[in-house]
Amino acid sequence: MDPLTIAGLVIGLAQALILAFARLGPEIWDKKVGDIVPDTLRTRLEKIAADAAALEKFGPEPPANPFGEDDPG
Amino acid sequence: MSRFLPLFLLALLVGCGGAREFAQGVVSSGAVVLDESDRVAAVEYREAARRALADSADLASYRRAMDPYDELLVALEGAAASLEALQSLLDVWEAGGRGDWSEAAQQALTAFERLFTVFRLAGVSPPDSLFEFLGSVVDLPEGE
Repeated sequence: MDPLTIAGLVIGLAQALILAFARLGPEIWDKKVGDIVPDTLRTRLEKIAADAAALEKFGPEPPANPFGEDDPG
Repeated sequence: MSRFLPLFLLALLVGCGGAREFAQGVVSSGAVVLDESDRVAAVEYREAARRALADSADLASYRRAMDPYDELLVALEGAAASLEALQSLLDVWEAGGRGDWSEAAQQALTAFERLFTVFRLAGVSPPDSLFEFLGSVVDLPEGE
């Protein structure tokens, strides 16, 4: 990487820091990833709830045919 | 945003805290962006699932309708895993050890780029923070 690219990267990362600083304040230096991001993402929780609703409406998925789709069973 | 402010902040950080604190700040910034992306994605996922549940005739078509949003979830979890890997390296650094930063940082960057792409593929506007975070370190497509 040339010095100009590295300088651009550092400036970019500093901008990212400002963004986080605006959200978390001085605590940004003490917070670790696990303190900010939940163990189970909210989107994962939504999928769990949505899958349950879909299974309730449509019933369980048919079991996969271990012999392939062409095999009548 | 003026480019002088980040430089000033950077100088302040290095002067006051050091490289490890700066690195922790950057990783925490990524975590904040990921958290915001997750909040946006969760709302979109719920709405998409509601629509798909109403419009689909069977489970297979429901799954097909939800595919782009499931991809979004996979991308979010990939980005989260890459941040955890960076956090582990930071913890090792704090304890006096060293690790392979270049590979972990590249993986995190790739994971966030993937997240940005998948947001677009799902037809969901990425949060501004993700755009700003990524746009500060990589070239994003024009018109964003």
